[in-house]
Formats: sequence, structure tokens, C-alpha cells
Amino acid sequence: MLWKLRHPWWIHAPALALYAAMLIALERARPLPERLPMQFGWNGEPVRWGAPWEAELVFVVVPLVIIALGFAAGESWARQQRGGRFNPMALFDAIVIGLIAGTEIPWLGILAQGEQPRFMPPWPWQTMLALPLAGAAVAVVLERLRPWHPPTEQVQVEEVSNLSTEIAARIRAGERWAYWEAQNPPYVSLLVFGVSTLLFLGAWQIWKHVTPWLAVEVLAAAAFVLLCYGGIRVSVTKHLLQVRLGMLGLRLLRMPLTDVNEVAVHTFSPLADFGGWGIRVNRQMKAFYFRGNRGVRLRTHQGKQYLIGSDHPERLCAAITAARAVGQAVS
Amino acid sequence: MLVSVREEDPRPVYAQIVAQIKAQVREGHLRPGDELPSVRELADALGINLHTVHKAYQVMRDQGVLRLRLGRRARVTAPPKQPADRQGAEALVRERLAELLTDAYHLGVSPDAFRRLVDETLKR
Repeated sequence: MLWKLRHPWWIHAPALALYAAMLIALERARPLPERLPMQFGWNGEPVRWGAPWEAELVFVVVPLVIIALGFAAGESWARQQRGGRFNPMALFDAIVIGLIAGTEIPWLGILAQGEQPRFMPPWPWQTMLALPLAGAAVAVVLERLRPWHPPTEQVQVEEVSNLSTEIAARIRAGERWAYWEAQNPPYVSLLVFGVSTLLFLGAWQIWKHVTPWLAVEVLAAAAFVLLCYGGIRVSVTKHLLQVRLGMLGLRLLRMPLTDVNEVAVHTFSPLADFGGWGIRVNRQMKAFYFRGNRGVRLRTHQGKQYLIGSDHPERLCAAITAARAVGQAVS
Repeated sequence: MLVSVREEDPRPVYAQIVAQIKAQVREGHLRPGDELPSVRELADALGINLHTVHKAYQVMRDQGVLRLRLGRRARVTAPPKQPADRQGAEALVRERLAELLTDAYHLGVSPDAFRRLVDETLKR
């Protein structure tokens, strides 16, 4: 097998069981009526009717997407974790599909009895609460039983003694120098263009149907998202460390090297430590990264901590360390 | 990517930048597809004129080291597996080596020492 799973499939057993229950309820409700009430107004009357395929989409396809997302999140977590930590995202698919099943199974039950609701049926509070809670409880137990294996791949540590020496020599020789690196993976560009396109289209619709002022605000949001195109860039010069974002170089961090008290290469888990990628904050530090699980951790004299994600953390760390060391020696 | 500018260097500033970036590509510190800073960013960081960096990037584009596209940052290109004009490329390298050998001669570096230096540089 080319791709070996790091987390067991049975973690998703509660979500799969709820999905199976929904499919059984759907089979019992067949044949579905030609017209199905899909949305209800505040007065309880249907405001939109739909074809049976719309119901199939909600009952069959949407839960599959949720399970796939849960699967991807569980696998990412397992690949990043460096200890047997509890993964709260393991509950995600069980809870969401529990909510869908808790709402839809009673609804399908009404259809199975051959009734065609003209008004919103009584809201199924009991199943809506019971199924997600039961799914979450089983998911917690399974997540606690999940085995953890330490990662087998070796971290590639770059040899950078030459770089440190080179930078120190260049600084002593009075040269003007700059160390620069970037993190701009393709998914950032896709997200930027995808989200900004959706916002532009939304603004156009709002302009036509709601109010121009709101459309202008949405347009501003779209323009801001578009400006994030270009990823994160880190530059170190003789006295300054800077982290910039996007095509205009929005400054995320500007730190004189004299403010840096500690600098070290740091390995982290994007999901477990920061809940994802991008510009992140946790209790200890502020972080900037778009890919990978390694970077450089800085601590200032005031005790503030920053994490800068890097594809070459040893080189970045060496550049900062050399510049600091020579700067201190000179001063 | 590490770039520096030395005022005592007799080469023009753009040529210093070109030489350093090309060396980092050869040494593998810059890989095909890696991004380079924008002209403005590098000029700001080094405290030099925008046109100097622009000229360096254009020279590297003409030499096939970088790919420049409007609105996008410069990217390192993959080196060709075979030179397009093998005889021409070899003649150019031979000419440069001869110039270097002449400089070595006038500096008092013996042919053996020159050979050793070439071998050491190749191994890096």
C-alpha cells in the first residue's frame, strides 16, 4: 500500500453508524414524493419545494463530505502529533452527522408513513440532542483508545555552520546584506482567489438586491483578501527582522534584533498547537506559517514569543543568531 | 537566500547580486520553483536602487536562471539537462577558465594549486 493511514478508520465508526442509520431511514421512505418541502418560513409553511434529488444530496452526499473532512482532520492530526494527545476534532464528524441524522431521520419517518407535510413538523429536539451526544460520547471513548506510534521519519537538519560564519564575516566587513525566504504554497493562492471571487460575486448580488453600502463593505473585504496573495516573507538584515504578508507587504512583525532575547529552531504541530495554518495565536505565542511543522521561535526581552514558520529553519535561525551575535559584539 | 553588497568589490552591484544568486542555485540553497524577493523588497533590504536589482533580475532572466512574469515574483528555473548549444557553452566556459588561469598566473598560483582549487570548489 502506497499510502499508509496513521489513524485507525474505526475512529469514525460513530459517524459511519449514524450515516448508515440515515441511509436505512431513506430507503424506508422510498419512493420519495415528486415534490418535497425543502424550506419552511417562520409561520411553519413551506416556502420552497424541491425535487427528490435535493433530498438525496442532503442525506447521501453532504454526510459523505463531512466524513471525508473528519477523516482528513484525523489523519492530519495523527501525522503531526508527537505524543498521545487527545484530538478534539475526532468528535467533529460524529457531532455534525448526529445533528443531520437527528433532524432528518424523524423527517424521513414522516415521509415513510406516506404523509406530505404542509406545515413544519414538530421540531425533533429529542433526537437532535440524543444522536449528536451519543455519537460524541462514543467518539471520545474511541479517541482515547486510539493507539499512537512515534513518527518514523527523520527530521532533515541542515548543516549551517558555513552560513553563520559567512554572515558574521560579511557583517564584520561592513557589507550590506539580507537573508530572505518565503512561504507561499499554491493553496494560499487558490484560497485567496476563491474567497475573493465569492466575495465579489456576493457584493454584486447585494448591490442589486439589498443595499449598495453593504456591497461596498463586502467589496472592501474582497479587496483585502486579494491583497493577501503572495504568502509570507521573512527578511533579516543587519539590525532588523521583518515578516510581511501579501502583495503589498503588509507588515506582520517588525523587530529590531536587539529586542531578541532567545532564538531557537522549533518543531510544532500546526493543528494541535495552533488549530491550523496561517496567522495564529495560542497562549504562549503568535505564529506565522503557511506550511510545514518547523520554524524559528523568538523570545523578546519583554517575554513575548513569536513563531516564524520556515522551510529552512536552521538557516533562518543561523542568520538571526549571527546578526545578533555580531551586533552585540560591535555594540 | 542570502545576498550582500560589498562596496570594495570592483564588480558592479548588479553583477554581485547575479553571482551570489547563481551560486546559491548551483549549491542547492535555491531550488527550481523557489521565489525571490520582489525588486522593491530586495532593494529596500540592501539599501540600493530599484533599477540595480531590476537589472540583476533581467540579466538572470536572459541567462535562463530566473523566470519573470508580470505581477508575480521571480522564480528560479530548473537548469537545462543538456546545453542548447553545447559547443557554444563549452567555448564560453573555456574562455572564462582561461581568464581565471591568467589571473591565477599573475597572482602566483601554480597550475597544481589552481587544479586543486577547482576540484575543491566543485566538491562544495
